[in-house]
Amino acid sequence: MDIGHRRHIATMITFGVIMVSISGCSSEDEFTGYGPAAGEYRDAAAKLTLPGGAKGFPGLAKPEEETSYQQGFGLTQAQFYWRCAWEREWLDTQGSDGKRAKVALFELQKAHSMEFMSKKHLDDLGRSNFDAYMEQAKLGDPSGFQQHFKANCKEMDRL
Amino acid sequence: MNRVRVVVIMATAIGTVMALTGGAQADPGRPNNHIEGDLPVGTALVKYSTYRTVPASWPNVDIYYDNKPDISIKLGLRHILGYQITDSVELGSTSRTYRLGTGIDAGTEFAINARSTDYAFGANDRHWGGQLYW
Repeated sequence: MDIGHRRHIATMITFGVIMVSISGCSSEDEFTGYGPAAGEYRDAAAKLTLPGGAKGFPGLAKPEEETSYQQGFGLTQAQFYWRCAWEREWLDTQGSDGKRAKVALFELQKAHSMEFMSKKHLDDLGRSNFDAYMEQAKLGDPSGFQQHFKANCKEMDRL
Repeated sequence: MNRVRVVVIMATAIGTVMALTGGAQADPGRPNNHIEGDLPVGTALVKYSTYRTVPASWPNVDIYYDNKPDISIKLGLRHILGYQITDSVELGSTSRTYRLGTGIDAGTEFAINARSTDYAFGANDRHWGGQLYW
């Protein structure tokens, strides 16, 4: 194989790599419509358990206008709702029903391995706050989860 | 000479790939971090899925806007249950700071909503970016 032929092959490979890379990160690929996003939500919710007596997952609200969702939006919505539901369960029971409160903390501990708490979807402060709230809760201090619930979850019944 | 050409081509390719494969939104693990995103074709509202947390020390969210697409954009902040918690702010000229939210409770986790103010065609540059301060 002569030098010119090798150079031609190298050029073609390079061109191919560029084209694959461009198509792989097309901005259109990272957005979905309502249907796929709602499907993400349903799939995520199906893997989760809510506290006994809680109403079920509300599902992804239908948009009032044309909306595009970044990949992961539906999933994170379901998992954030799950977190809010268990925070409320713990806050409601931690002073009165030790068994239910223990179950709630056990459930909340699972958040560490869930997608919505990954670096892709939540910043370092959000994750470190959660760790601090868990440690406080284990010591019987509800202030961390109280603050988080007040700032983020108080409107969950509107859904 | 041929080897030099191949090296140049490969370096260009690697540089192009690295530039193009940067995330749609920046690594959220740093305070005051770079943020960027793409808008879809059309005028649809876009809901991004990276959340950031308002610290106790600073209740405002600002963006230093430095990468303007072909169309004008508006940004707003959305909380984890899906509601937008601020009025949308239209970003005009670049190299200036826009306030996206004020007086936000410590511990609030928020993400970005974005939309183009005009119809965005496929041929338009639909990539925006800046530095987010919160």
